[in-house]
Amino acid sequence: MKSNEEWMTAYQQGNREAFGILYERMYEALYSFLFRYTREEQLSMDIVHDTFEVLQKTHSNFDSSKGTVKSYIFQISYRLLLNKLNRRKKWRTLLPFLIPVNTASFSAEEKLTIQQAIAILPEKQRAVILLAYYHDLPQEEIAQVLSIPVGTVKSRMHAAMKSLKEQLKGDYHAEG
Amino acid sequence: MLKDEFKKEEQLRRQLDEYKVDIPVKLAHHRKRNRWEHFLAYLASPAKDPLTDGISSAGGLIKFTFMPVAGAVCIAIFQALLL
Repeated sequence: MKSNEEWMTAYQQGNREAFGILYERMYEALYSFLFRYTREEQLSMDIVHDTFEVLQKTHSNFDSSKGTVKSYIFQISYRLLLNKLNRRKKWRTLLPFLIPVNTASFSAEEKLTIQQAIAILPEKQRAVILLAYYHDLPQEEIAQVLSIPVGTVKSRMHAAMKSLKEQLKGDYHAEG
Repeated sequence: MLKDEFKKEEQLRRQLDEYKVDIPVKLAHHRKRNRWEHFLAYLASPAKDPLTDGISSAGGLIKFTFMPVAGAVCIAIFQALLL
């Protein structure tokens, strides 16, 4: 089975089918990351689509010696996400009543706790823990996706773990 | 791997594993929404009632009742000055 990098090379050489295969392989992971980060289904779906739109335009910029296809796609996605969230913050400052009503619902008490604990993490720490735990990205790739030094990745990771444990303290005591 | 940091944190790992995400079926095929669809989704998305904050605060209801009267008086004065 070909690797993502081989399919990307094929796409760079004009193989249109390769784009579809990369989408098939990546969209679930990308959506999961975006959804866990924002907890908004429509926004996450839009960014997945936008990411692949950008990939269609910038696929020639990918260089396999600089990183993996996964980190390249996550990097595009993370930048789009930050742009959208920043733009939204500006609109909310101007027109505060446009804030959408949060319709998210939770099915289990413990699930609610871990979802909330992740949601209330500072954005920078949240991105690190999601990429490290759910997407198995090594620290060098996380640094590349978030455009931060490797040392910062480690410190944010430890801070996020500490904060999560603190937030979930109740559960630890209840079960311990 | 950074994930190795979680090896000692069994409880935390178990809780993080509980967080599953349902992937929408609509995502299975790459399809970009056009501007019209974005606009429709924007119109259909629920938003906060802009009057709620005003009404719930002390004196907010009175303010909303008298604001049109005060506005009408201001316009009347402005028109009188123009004449």
